[in-house]
Amino acid sequence: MNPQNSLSLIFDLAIRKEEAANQFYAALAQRVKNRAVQEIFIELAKEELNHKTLLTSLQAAPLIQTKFARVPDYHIAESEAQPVVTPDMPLRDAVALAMKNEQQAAQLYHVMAQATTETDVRELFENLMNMELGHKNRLETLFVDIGYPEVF
Amino acid sequence: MSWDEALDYTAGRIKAIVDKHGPDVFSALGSGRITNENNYAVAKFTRAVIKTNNVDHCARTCHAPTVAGLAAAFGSGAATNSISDILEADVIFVIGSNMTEAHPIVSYYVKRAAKNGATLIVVDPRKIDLVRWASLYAQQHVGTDVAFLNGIINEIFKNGWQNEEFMRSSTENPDDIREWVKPYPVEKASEICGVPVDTMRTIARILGTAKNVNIIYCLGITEHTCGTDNVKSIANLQMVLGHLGKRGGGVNPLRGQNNVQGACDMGDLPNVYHNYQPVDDPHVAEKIAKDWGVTGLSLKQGYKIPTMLHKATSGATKIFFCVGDNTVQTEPNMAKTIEELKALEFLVVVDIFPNLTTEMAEVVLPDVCFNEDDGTYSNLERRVQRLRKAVNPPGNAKPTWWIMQELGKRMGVDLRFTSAEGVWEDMRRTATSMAGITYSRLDEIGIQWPCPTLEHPGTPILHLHGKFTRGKGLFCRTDNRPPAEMPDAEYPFMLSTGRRLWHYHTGTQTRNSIGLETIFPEELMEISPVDALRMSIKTNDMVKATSRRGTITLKAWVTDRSPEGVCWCSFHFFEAHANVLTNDAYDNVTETPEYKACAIKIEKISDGKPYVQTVNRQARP
Repeated sequence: MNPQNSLSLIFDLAIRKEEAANQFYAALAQRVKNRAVQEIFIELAKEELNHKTLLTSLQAAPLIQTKFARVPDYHIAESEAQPVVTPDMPLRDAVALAMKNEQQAAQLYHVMAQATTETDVRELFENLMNMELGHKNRLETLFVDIGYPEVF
Repeated sequence: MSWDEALDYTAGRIKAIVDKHGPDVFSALGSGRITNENNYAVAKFTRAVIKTNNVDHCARTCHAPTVAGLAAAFGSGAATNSISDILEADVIFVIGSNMTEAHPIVSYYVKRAAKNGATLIVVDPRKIDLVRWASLYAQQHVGTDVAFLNGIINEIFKNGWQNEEFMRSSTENPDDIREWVKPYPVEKASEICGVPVDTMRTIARILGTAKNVNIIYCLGITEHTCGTDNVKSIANLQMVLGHLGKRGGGVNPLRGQNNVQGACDMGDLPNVYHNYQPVDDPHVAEKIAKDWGVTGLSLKQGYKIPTMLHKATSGATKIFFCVGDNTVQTEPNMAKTIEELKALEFLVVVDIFPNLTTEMAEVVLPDVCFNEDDGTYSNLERRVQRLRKAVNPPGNAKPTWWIMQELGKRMGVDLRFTSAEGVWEDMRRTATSMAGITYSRLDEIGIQWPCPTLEHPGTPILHLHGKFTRGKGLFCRTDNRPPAEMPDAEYPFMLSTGRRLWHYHTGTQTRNSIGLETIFPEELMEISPVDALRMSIKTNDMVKATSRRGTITLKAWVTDRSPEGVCWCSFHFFEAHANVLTNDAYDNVTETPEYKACAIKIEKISDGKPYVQTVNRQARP
């Protein structure tokens, strides 16, 4: 397979992931009761669509990519257990779920980058990993703001 | 007596009583003065060795309503902003905080901000020293904060100054608050709280049109039977203004002691482990039991301090293990507290100096103090800071964590404490919001929690972008409730109590300082000039103050700090102590006592030496 096709397939995969995430969050927004949780899922669903649009535009010119800057990784998603999805899930769990999803996405691209010998392909995977780490960072920042309440 | 003898005896007595009557006859107190590590050690001993959650500390007597009130509104009870943020505010609204005496360091920031042009509004029943820096001062009647705040909110709505966008996007029930404050038009609120209508209108206008309002409050808000409602009213006001989640704004309770925040963080509370992990959550208990290497952690919430003490008289509390808390002087209605402590089978006190509580104890264990051991403190902005050993402790004094380790060992549980840092690491293994804070990271500068991982830098501001822990902020309904005991014909004065600049709490430390004792050697009853004139009382005259619970005799200080009908004294001096008089009535949510309001009468006993003011000093005649 020529490199251009490889890159295009990678974009197909990434775009499908964003579509799936959009549908996942949109479905969750329908299920949950807390208005703030509903709003965050709607917001997340919209963001995933924005990511899809971005990736689609990049797919058209894969070698002239926007470089996603590497942001700090606080590894908070890794320190949290996978939340259970329920209609009554609190905002904390909703944000935890989203940051863990971003962690898994970043991890997937990292593994794929490690697995390839093609320089262009590896750089693309690393770039996509940085994009997901950026999303993870934003969600982890929100999680820190709400996830450790002082209540007694 | 050697340490071995004392520890063998103490462990033996505790074990015998607990074996016979069960773990819940044991209660322990940590302290807002001791380190995080020592507080954690007290909590771990109580839970892992005794198997009860009867552990509490002096946050119960001060800021528990803060946590209950702010948690109801925001989902979390911590201060929202950093101290330095005060300098970013264009309006600083201080209510119920005599900060130049009780929090002098924070007051420097407020005074600096005021000098730099910020508008400072002070609301307090007493004309405290901070008023000198204020653009506007409102003197409300004691215990009328809900009426005052609801009146201000009402006026804000009336003029359309509310932050509608914030209320709609970031709160759950914006329409409710508008309805709930309708019964408090400023005219009516003014009748209740005593602040002139025009002053209330001006305050509402300044708050409602400001770019950034920083709300600061302290125990004048919390130490009431309506303390939690007072805090909720403050949260309501700030959510109407919308100055949350940004620098310079926020709701910022001033925690009282150097480590009362840390004592809470370390789980010296009857319903949560360290980092506020609930004791009645089986998953949390399982995680912690596994790490501690113990079984049978109690899933039942423990007693709060007042309940611990009440239960002593019925025999349900038999052991009181008191660390760094002069309970006799700290609790309201001292005569009742003494009776409760007398009813115990075994009172153990760990402290650094003798005090009224050590006098009642069967065993007194000498503790180390500031800079005699390593450790950490957490200040009121959630900042964990390192404390380093600089001198050796006197005599055979030992750190609390060592005492708890030795007692645990004698009772069959190895708490695995070998150093202060080791205790911190023990806590950190099962921590959440502090899991990323290590001694090495604290070497140069403190870190504000939440700091959940080693990579995380800490969190100076909470609720950024209007997102609250509970999702959206919740307005809570509050209505005016007078104090439990109001002045009447027999006891015509309202007594309010608090702290003086020169002394600290029950004086266990500061009254051992010759310098401070020289500056302020005895308690004074502050009386307004109007009342003093009526009773022919002059500064330095001896007066007798009597409530339904007791009498104290002390000198008078005639001062316009007190409004007519209100007297004030502190709880620093055992010779003339406010808590002989105070009422053991409690906030209905948190069991925090109403230290700020009780009824007394004043009688002149004798003339004193004529008082001649030679120098103008702050916070003393």
